[in-house]
Amino acid sequence: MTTTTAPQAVPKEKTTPFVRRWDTPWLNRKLLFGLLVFLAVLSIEFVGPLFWDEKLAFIGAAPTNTVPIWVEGVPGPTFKAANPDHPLGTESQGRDMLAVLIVATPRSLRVGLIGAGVGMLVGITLGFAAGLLGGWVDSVISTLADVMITIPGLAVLVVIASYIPQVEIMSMALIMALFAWPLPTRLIRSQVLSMRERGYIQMAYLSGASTLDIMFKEIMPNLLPYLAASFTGAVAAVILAATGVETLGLGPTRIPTLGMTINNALSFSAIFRGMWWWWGPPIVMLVIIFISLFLMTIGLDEVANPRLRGLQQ
Amino acid sequence: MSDTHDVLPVNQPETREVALEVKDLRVHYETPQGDVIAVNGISFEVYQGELIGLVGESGCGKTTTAMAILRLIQAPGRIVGGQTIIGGEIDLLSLNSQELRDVRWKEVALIPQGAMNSLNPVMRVHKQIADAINRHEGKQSKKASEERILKLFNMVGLPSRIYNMYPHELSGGMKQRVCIAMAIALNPTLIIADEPTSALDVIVQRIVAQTLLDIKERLGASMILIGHDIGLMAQLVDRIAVMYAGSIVEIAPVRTALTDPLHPYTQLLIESIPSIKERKPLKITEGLTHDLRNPPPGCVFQLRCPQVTEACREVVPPLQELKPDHQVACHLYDGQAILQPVSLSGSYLES
Amino acid sequence: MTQPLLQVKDATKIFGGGFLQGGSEVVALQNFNLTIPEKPAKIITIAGESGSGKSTLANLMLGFIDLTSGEILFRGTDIGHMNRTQKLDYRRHVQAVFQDPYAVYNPFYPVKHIFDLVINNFKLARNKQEARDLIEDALKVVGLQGEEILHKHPHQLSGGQRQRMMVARAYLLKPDLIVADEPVSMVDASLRAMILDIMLRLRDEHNISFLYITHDLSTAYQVGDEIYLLYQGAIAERGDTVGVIEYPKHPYVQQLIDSIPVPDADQKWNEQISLPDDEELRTHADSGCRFYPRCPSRMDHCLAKQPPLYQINESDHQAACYLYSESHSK
Repeated sequence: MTTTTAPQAVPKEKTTPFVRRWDTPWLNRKLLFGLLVFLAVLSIEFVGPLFWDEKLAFIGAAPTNTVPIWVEGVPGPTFKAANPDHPLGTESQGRDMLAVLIVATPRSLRVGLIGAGVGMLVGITLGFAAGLLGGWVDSVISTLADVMITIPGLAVLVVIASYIPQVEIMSMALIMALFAWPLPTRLIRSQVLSMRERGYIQMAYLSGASTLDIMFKEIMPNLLPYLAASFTGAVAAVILAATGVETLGLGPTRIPTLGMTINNALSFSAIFRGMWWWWGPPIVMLVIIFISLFLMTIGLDEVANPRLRGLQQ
Repeated sequence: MSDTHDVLPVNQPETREVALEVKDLRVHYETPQGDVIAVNGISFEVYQGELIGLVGESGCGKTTTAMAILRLIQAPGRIVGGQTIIGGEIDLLSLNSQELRDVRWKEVALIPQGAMNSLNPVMRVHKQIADAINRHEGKQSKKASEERILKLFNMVGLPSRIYNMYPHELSGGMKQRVCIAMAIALNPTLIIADEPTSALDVIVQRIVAQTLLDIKERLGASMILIGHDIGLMAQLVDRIAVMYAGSIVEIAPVRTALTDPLHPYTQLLIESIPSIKERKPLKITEGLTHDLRNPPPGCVFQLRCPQVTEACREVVPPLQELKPDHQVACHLYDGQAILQPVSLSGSYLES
Repeated sequence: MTQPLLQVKDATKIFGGGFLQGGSEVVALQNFNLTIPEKPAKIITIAGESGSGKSTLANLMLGFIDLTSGEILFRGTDIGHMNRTQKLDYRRHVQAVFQDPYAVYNPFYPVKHIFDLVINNFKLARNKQEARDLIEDALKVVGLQGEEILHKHPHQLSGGQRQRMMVARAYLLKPDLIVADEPVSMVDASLRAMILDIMLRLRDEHNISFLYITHDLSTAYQVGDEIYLLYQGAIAERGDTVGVIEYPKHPYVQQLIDSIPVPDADQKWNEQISLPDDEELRTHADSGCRFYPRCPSRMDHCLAKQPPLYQINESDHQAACYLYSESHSK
């Protein structure tokens, strides 16, 4: 058989692996900024105690009702003048607000991270099972998830939390996880369903891969941006739900959390009395947390949905 | 002996009317790593009443050219330069959006790639054609619209009973013919068909191709047929233009292009067509191409050309007329160009 | 006579129409028979257009879907009743190359991953060096070099390179049969010869048979040994490739070959043809010849029952058309 060949030419190609290129979508501004802020908030747990005494966050640790140091005078007879030992002021039970922030923030974050973490684990397992195995497994899981999504979560959470005598961080997180798993399950299931038909999955079956192999080695790596975005979204949702439940007084009472602080403020009529330094800081901290998580989520969304990723053959 | 199908109309080149003239069209696509040069300054003419084929492999820029003529390029692509002149007067690239909308579909119509899959799945076919007509000519009376659409169906060989059907109820060939009917609804003078038969079975392809030829003759329109199947081109077109990596390398009457291709790429393409008539040894070539962001200086085909020379690596060969109506962009033929400029637009270089 | 490598017996596949699903059923493949001998290695073409059943056949042969009735026997064992070990063994002997050279690569990994999967799951090598040698050897067969490309990601290679790597991957297991489902239809025209040439060399030098599934009769004509032409789920004509394409007997095949555009401006299509308006897919297993509405030579009794394959002269050439029954030819 006669064959003729034209002269070979070696194209000059960049050979850097995918993630290390400077234009990688993971390095987008939203994700980086959100991540930075979130890490800063996380670090309060470690950095805070180095500068401030955490024990001031307990009842009676400080004089009550002092105003923050930048306030001139006192707003009323029950208040004390600004005390340089307590720059953010104190509240009606003698807790120093700066210490409260330092102690409460990590605890609220923990609820979010653990609750979302457990919820995601369940979601990934069920989502993959439903998507890959199909049949009755899929029907059962999907129906269950759909039902859970339609149940009003906060109401049920309130009922459950009110039955538990001593609520702590862990129990809080697990209760939240109960409502955190359905949405990731649905999302992951639909991603798996669409990826299942891809050519490389068929190739993997042909190469002798088992279903578990396909789940974890073929599909999962491609879902990482989705999974990450789901996770950050779930963390925000859990913190929001937990704060909601706590604001009603159903959270851990001994050591403060952000939600419980707001609850304390409400029960002492802080709004009516104009004690903005009591309910203000927790809300500001929550806002910062939510914004950073939101930025991370949409930043990860950009990674997951490449709109323009350069030229593909 | 005159075979009216592929020999040029009776007019001589100097006096043939030009339906579309493309001059130095450039289209770039922005990427984070730099601009991809999709169309690199191409120039060609489409004469009144002719069917010209634009052929090339994937990524050569033929669809981009079609979209650019109608100014349908969207970000990250952009038209960087050039002119597309219809009927000797209107430069499409210089119109404002209102003027452009008037010209599109009425003067120049496009049957885009994969058109049959882009039909609105929730709208009956007659409504989709009616929409196209109404958008350009204002709302028509129901009766007039119906008559007109049925006539269009007839022209493309569709039975009238599909009038009220949805696209999914039709076969592939029928859907494609609906798209053709849509394109000719306003009697355009130029029709651009981008891979109109690629997804169709061989026998249906023949029927749709016959339909295209038929309506072109009936409307007296000019047509640009874009594709990669040279066999199909041979059956339909008068002249054929070969594109490679954003440039036109050869334009010739189809018979000459098949029997006596001049550009090495055209030769390669013709040789790779597997024959259905005789068994021959396979001709193999390497397929390495350059990065479209960094074209090498000189001829675009240098990396694959079996007859590459030093000049090819340095100087871009211009598209020159070597024989009447046969243009080639290749240094192998330097010095052989016909001396007198024959184009009305003067787009050829004088040697 | 030794057992054939692969035998497809009366294979029928019907989609839809079950009790729970409702809807109309589609007979994708009907009473399909095919025998692939152990040797010599052959390239058997399964040609057909959309709706012909060729993709269904590929999926059935690769064990991705099950038959409705009939059997596919691999060296005597029915692949529909294989356990996991037997199926793994089957995959050692029957591999595939698919149509889309981009979609078959997992974008997360460099292209080397497709080889690693095979080597690890089939335990082809004892250590990294052996594995590397195996891969280099396979790449050499398809004309590629390892250091240049193994670490790259799929979007950094050209379509021709990716498809060649797919063939190298299939070759790695030294299979007996490679099912190639439209291997060149998404590859540029000027690069197709390279892939087809690899197929020929694998047949001649490595004794690997191919089931070449395609809609492109021209390439089938150039490389196939035997050809099966499918029309709406049933074999219309089969036999030696050259014989069938140069002297087609079934009216559908004749029309098909006549409609292939020849790249010669002097050889135009002879006449205008038209199709009847409805092209329904087979719905019932027992009905007459499906080509009846379009057939220029149709007869009344063609509607009664699907014609069986009749022998054309002495060779393997057969056509499913009553024109060639003994009673008709007399």
